[in-house]
Amino acid sequence: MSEADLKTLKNQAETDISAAKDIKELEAVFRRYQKEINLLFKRFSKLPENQRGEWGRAVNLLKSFLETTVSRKKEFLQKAESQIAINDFFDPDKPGKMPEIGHLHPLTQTKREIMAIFASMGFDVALGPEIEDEWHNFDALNIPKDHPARDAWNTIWLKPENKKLLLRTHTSPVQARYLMTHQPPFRIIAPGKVFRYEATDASHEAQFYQLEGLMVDRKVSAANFKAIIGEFLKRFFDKSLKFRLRPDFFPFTEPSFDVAMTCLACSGKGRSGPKGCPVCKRTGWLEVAGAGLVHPNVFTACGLNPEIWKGWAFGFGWDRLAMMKYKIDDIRLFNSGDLRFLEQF
Amino acid sequence: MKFSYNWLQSYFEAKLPAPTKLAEFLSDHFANVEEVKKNGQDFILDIEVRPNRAADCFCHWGIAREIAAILNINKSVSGETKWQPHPFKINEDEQSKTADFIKLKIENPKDCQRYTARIVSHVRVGPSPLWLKKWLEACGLQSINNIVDIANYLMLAVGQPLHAFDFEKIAGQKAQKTIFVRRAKAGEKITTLDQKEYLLDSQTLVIADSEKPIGIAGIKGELTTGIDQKTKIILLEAANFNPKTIRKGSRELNLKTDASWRFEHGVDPNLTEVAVDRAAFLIQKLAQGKIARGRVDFYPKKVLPKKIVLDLKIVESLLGREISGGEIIKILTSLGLNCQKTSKENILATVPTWRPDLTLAEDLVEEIGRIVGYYNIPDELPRVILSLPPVENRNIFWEEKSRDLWKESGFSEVWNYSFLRKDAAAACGFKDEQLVELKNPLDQNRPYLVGSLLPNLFSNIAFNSKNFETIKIFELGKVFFRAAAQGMAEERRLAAAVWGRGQAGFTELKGGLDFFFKGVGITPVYSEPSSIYRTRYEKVFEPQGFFQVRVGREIVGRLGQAKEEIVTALKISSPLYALEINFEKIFPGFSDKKIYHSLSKHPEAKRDLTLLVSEKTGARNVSSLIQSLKISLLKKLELVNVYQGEELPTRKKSLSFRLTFQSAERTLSSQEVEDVLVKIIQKCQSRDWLVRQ
Repeated sequence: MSEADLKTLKNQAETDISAAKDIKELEAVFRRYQKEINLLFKRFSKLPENQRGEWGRAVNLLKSFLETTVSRKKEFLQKAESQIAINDFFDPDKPGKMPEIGHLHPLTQTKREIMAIFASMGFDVALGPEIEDEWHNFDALNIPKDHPARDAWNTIWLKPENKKLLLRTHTSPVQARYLMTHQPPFRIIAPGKVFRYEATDASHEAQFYQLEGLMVDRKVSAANFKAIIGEFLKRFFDKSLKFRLRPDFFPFTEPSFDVAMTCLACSGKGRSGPKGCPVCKRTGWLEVAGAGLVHPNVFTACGLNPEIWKGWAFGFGWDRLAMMKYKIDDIRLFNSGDLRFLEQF
Repeated sequence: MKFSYNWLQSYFEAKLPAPTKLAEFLSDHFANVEEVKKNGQDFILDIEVRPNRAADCFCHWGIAREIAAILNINKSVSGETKWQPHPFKINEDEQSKTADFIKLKIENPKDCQRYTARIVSHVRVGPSPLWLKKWLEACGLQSINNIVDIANYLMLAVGQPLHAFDFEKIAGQKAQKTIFVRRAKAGEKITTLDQKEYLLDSQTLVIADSEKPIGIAGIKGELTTGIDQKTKIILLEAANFNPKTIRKGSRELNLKTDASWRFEHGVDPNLTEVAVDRAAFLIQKLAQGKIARGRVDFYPKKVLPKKIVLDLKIVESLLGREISGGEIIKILTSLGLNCQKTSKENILATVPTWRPDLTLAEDLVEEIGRIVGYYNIPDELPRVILSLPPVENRNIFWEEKSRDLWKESGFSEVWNYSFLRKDAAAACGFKDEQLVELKNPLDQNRPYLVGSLLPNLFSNIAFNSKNFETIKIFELGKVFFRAAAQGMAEERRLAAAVWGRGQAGFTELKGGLDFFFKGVGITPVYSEPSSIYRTRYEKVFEPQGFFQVRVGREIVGRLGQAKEEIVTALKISSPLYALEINFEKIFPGFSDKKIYHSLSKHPEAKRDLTLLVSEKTGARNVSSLIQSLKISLLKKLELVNVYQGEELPTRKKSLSFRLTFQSAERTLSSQEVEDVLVKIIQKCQSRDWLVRQ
């Protein structure tokens, strides 16, 4: 092999290296010419003594040329490739990898929010059984036997009948249980599952969720109740929300109030639009809670002196609050176990 | 209940506010007006009269009284301040006397505290005048004839149900007939005005002549003694029956009427004479007729007005707004109460008998509050003595913490109905006597309360399998069962299920459980159930595919693979893994205490140990054996691999563990580590476990 051959080999190598499109190709090229150079070195021994120095220098030169060219090219290719990779990596249109998470039931979430608001106002949380006896569910709450007032609570009774056990129709028996076992003053809320013997549709459930509140002290007034319930509604929904109290009747409170707040669907406009707001039936108001000052008979039944202790209580459907908050239009979804619904929360 | 605006207006000289405005006033001060609807020249107000006001406000007269108090109108159309709308003067016939026609025999005054009657003869039965027809129809009643319409009109006007009999059709002597008010005899039958036959018993109170019942007292009239076109002499009845008797009778017969509804709620016994006189007056006016002299009136114990002492201070302290004594008296007087100021602080209020709901001072506070208007009461935060902030309710805290832990493991929370299907109960091995059964279930197929959360959780999986390929869900809720001592018991359970991940699903479920137990500071033990339990008692899980979960010595739950039958019945693919834990049993041991272990400055040494064991040997057998050596240098023992394959001897598997050794005081020499390892290996070999290199 002559020096001219080495020159050709060098040119060939230069062309091939510059033609390599990526590192893989480049490495293949590099390996191929390395082999060639190794072969050239092997011929070294066959050469006459005087030519060896010359030959060795020439081949070494070729070798270092090959190495530097390849390494330069490699650096170039690496830069280009990493640039592509970075561009690809930082593509904001490409979805990230979402963690596989679980979801808490919307009523768990709203319950926590409600508990936190009331806790900040000094309210404790009380719980009670879901199977109740007639006394705690009705008698203690001044709802007499054989009285039409009881018809307001369509009751699911348990067998055997003579035990007079039932599924609590409201969370109010928790009030009675708490009054009987605690020394006032106190402030509590009691969230829980309740049951009614009622046909179900988009706005009625046989199994639904109530939240009861009770404050007992020596001096407690309707004005105090207004302040607390108003603060709660504003914190839970919206600062600008309005609410109102109107007369109502519950056997366990005297006087009794119906609490309504601005309809969130129409922002209290009610009659706007051709048909008006269907959510509030065009009134601009939504009834959210029943409330009142604790009836003296309830204090007496629970062993407290109504001359000394005064109190107020309220109860609302916490599922209804969740419906308003999240704009859920079918109450049955809560008990449906439908993950298409649950995974939205 | 529906009220006619024009009818209400007829009680007032002054023009009432427009219907919607009037409705607003009523809603703000009395009871919610659900709807105001135009009805020809009239408007219908649908007022939700609450049951405590049934006695006085299930009629136009009562609502008019409310309007007068709310709007502060102290003059009725009659010009009288005492409420007596539509004044009338009855014109009696001197020739005849009511007492000559009838005699009353009331079996028990407890059932009927008052019975008032009048006779009107020479009547002409015919259609009612248009105004009467319109008013009745506005309130949802059909016009029948002038006599019946007048009776109904008075019920809607003053709240007293009336009944008109055709006197000549009543059995008895021609001259003087006896009207009985008695309990029905067992087996007695009656055909009511609407031609329906009822079989009666002693639960039901009846009006009877000498032969048979001629009316179901307070509920419905009888057919053969009803008014027809030929009727000439009318017996008008205005009575007051015991609310409980009527309620029982009405329920027994499953018959609810406008009359029974009013009697059930209670009617003022002093109303009967006003009602019967006014009815006689109207009959004379609209159907001619002669009114016999006097009334027959059984009223042994006249009901007198009650008196309530009102301490003026409590008005302010309960409402939270200052209201003057003068204003209080004005409001109560406008509602028909008679007020006397007995001292500087006290008022003695005399309550008219039409307001039986007012018995306590608090009741008067409500009257004052609503007439003032709750919108006029300020918002004022309570002034309380600073007490310690509420102690966190541990029950709630741990429930919520548990939910968070499962959510973090990727499980979604469901809330299910507490009702259990009959077939699901059977499939899960519940016996009828274990479950709580409902007397009146909403759905006959779901007669029980849940005894386990799993059946409904499985239904959730089946339902969601249409939309999801993999499902991980959990529930924390109550189950119910019969308990010997207290009758019924309820307890909280925690259940979770994984479906659609093949066998890896079990690892995910177990991982969720491990994570949960770690989060609540509990170390469970898993044990194999006895073979009797596996095969005979366990209905939910595969006999060879589940474990019991123990905390301490107590079994607190189980986890495993759902039985093939259950999965097939759900129409989903296998496998389905689930667990259920008794929350009440584990909850007392929950702890969020964390103690820091100081970080060692000395390096760890790791060694792997692979054992060839029988396929029945569990990893926990190995780890408990190694742990029994109590080697203090052994910091961690982890199972890293389980392998079963052809190249292994039959019925054998290999278990690989990673052992981490570390000392807090010094760097361990390899000789030290080897010495300990040898001890472990020797212990393992004592069990016929082959150590593989």
